[in-house]
Amino acid sequence: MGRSLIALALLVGCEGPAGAPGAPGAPGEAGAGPPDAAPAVECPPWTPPAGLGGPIDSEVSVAMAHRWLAFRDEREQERMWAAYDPARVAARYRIEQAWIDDGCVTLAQLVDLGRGLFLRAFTPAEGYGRGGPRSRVQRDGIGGPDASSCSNCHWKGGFAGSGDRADNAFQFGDGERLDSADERNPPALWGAGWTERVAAEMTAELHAVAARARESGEHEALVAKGVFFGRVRARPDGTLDTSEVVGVDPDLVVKPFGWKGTFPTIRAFVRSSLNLHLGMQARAGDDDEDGVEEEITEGQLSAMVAFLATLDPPRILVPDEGGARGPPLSGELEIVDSPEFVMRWLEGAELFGELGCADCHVPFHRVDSARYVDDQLDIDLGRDGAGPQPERREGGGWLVPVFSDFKRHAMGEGLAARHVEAGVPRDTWLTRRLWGVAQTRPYLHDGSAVTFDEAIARHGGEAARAREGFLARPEAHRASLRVFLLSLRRAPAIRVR
Amino acid sequence: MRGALLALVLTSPSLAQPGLQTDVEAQLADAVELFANTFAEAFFHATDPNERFEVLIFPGVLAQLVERGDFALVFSLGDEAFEAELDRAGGLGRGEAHGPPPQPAVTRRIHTGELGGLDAGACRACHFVGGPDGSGAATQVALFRGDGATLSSADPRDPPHVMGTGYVSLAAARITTALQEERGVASRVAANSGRRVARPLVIDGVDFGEIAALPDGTIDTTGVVGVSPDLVVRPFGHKGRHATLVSLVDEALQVHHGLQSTSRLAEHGAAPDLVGDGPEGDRDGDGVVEEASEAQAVLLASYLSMLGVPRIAPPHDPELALAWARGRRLFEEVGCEGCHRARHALEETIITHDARAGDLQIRIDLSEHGQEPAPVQVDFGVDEGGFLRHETPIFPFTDLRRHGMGAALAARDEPLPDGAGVVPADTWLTRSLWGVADTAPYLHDGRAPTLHAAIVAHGGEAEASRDAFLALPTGDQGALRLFLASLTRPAVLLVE
Repeated sequence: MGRSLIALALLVGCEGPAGAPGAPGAPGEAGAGPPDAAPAVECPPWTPPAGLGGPIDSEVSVAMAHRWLAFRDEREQERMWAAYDPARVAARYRIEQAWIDDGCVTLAQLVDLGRGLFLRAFTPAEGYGRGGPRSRVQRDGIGGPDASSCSNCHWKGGFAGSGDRADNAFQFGDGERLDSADERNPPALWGAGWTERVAAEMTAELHAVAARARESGEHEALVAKGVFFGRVRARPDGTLDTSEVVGVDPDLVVKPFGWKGTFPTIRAFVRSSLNLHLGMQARAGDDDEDGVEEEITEGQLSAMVAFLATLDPPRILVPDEGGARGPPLSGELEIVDSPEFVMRWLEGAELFGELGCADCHVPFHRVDSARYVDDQLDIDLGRDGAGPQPERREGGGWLVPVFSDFKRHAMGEGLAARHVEAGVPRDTWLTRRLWGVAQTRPYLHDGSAVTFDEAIARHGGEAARAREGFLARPEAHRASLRVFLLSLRRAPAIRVR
Repeated sequence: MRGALLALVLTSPSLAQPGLQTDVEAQLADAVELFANTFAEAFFHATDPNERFEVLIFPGVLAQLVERGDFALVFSLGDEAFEAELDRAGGLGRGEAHGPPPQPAVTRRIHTGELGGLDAGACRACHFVGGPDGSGAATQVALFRGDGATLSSADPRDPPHVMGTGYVSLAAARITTALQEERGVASRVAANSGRRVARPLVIDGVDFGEIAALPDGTIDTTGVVGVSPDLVVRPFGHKGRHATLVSLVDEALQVHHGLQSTSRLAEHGAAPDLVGDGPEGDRDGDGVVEEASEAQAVLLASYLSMLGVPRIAPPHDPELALAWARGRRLFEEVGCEGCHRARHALEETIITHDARAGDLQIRIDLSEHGQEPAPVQVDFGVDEGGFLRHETPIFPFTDLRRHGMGAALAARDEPLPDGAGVVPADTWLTRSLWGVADTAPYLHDGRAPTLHAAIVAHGGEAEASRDAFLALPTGDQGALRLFLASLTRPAVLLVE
């Protein structure tokens, strides 16, 4: 019910309830109002944190520049207030889920709060850490903490981007030895809402096949969005035989987040990451025994989910100009209007299919619905998500250029991790989404590859054939493929640092 | 009230610095142009067999640029070298690899002794917090001098921001000169008088103990405090490790990226514990010889020295502005200012970068080629002797001196790379505080998540100040922290 209210609140506009003076009352106190009327409850007095005014498009304009500069100034002022009176500012960053359910928080406010939390260095008073020092090597199940904010490790290519190899997390370790842990490079989080939409629709398709199999008693092929996940068959006792399922867990839930595809939703991975990297627990009680209870509320989690879900999806930016070096010594690159790179790009796009890259890095998936729905939220990404949006299809639906089949593949011993993670074998990984790959150097799960050639050379297992094909190509062809990969990026956007 | 505040703002020299460009359209146009170039250039590099950015420079090229006076290009090449990612073929790493080329080098975040590890492919990877050329995040704390394998073996260091380092370098050199002059005077007087001569080393009010000279020319440095016995102020590194940016960069290239310059090899080529025991020319054993020339560190040092300086951001809210003024006063009253000395005056702004090997030298007048915001020269009129008096004040908030900070902040004894002795475990160079608001987490190992935690962790020589801070009423503690939170940096508008 809270869902429709959020949508409604956005329609009403960005007017926050917080500005209303003398609006006392505890959150949720008055109970929920009717779902399709303006909030009848008394909203708590809440001052939202510094914000950009909701989801923000990747767009380059003077107006946008002013918006960003104002945001930076507002944050600078807020930081000074925080130094002067920490509790005053901390209160801006904490909301309850009930406020959202009651329609007291607009989507724009929710996204601003989520962005603020993403940038925020939490303090020990708010529950940061586990009562002891950080640990760069995580302990299994407990984590570090190893960072002080999400943006520490998700910064390349703009907010919520990827991390450098210096930011690699050492997961599932013993808290001491590098060799006890699995190295993981922080992946970019762009387009996370659209990603979850694709996965959710795939899961629905797979579950429909499973239901069919139960009815028919026959082997049924598990195909979702054209991707083959093996077969299922109903046993005589009605249970499902999943022994021939490939690339997805036996529960047939496509889990798009985590290098090994272990989290089904943004909410699930944010909850886990806050705990592992920051020692912030999004649940009641004081698990980490640092004296702070309920360090993150469900409402704060919803804000972070709303921020990530509405991030802009990357796209394909075909180079329309060529480059040429000026005279030696000048070092300046002269940009000339030449179709050189367009021709290169065309050749690269062909090779991407021809070599077999596209077999796993499936370029597009069409989603029927842009409605992002999770336990607590319902957001129309097509309307409220940051732009530029994916292409709209005439027959309905949206074309999402993720470049992944959302399926796990065995990648060979050369890429094997140290640990079996959530039941996923050591050498098995979810096909990395390549959208935005141009801005996520270094590449691969451990961030070891600085160049595309290095990244491709480490592919093995099911990708060995494609790798061999690539390495056997003349340099000119490889260069064209790299030009193509370099066109997969976020639309140019303004950032203020 | 408003008038008083305005006066405060106008008379604060730091605020007179050009902090923010007000012309947003012009800033945006610059950012768009930079983006267009970078975007096109990326495709250009993609078609290069090594996908390599031009990060390596030859001494002859750099020398020619300097001869032409093209410091703008030196800056932009240095900027590129700071940002661009090295790969294995370009010398990244120290031999550990996932397989034969083109398989990549292995990351090793815990360093092996002085050889270092492999932390990142670019300087920028650990200097971006708060903006370009910023500090490092908690995750980017470097794990120095370990066994290459275990966390507890390492000596962690939080990457500081690198803005204003050229000016800090000049301020340090000025103190070095003054200290060494005192030493010269002492030894001359001792020789002439035939007796032991002791002179106090107080430079601009900062006490470096005393220096004594004997008639036979012997120098007694046992009374020297806060600086190495050679009286060279080393302003870089948390313990005061490097006297020059060139020396800092030459070491950083190896220990963070596995990039060995010819100067590094020329300087330490015979010491396997410093450069590795691989074959001649490829001591780090990664199969790449002559990974960088001696010009590489000079280029990066030139770039760093031309960077602008942090700024002080005034609060907009009147209540906050008054608390801010109180915070500044308390900063002095509590005793922070005793070490975190706000102001240094530079008499000249010409910085010299000498390669560690070879005869490459670059002289840059920062008043001419320094990036905005640059410190502004202040004129004081004509002095008694009829000379025009002027100086360039900077506000780095450090005395550039080492202090004992107590057992709780002790790391381990750190031998200096140039054989100038050992800095004791509990001893640290006063951290400069300009730009501190953008550098969380704080302290040498990034242990303090907040400014408050950082202040509370102070011990040793700072114990009295810390106790005085803790004895303040809550509101005054807040005011002091607020002042620190105003030490920030200019906004940078980017398109990416």
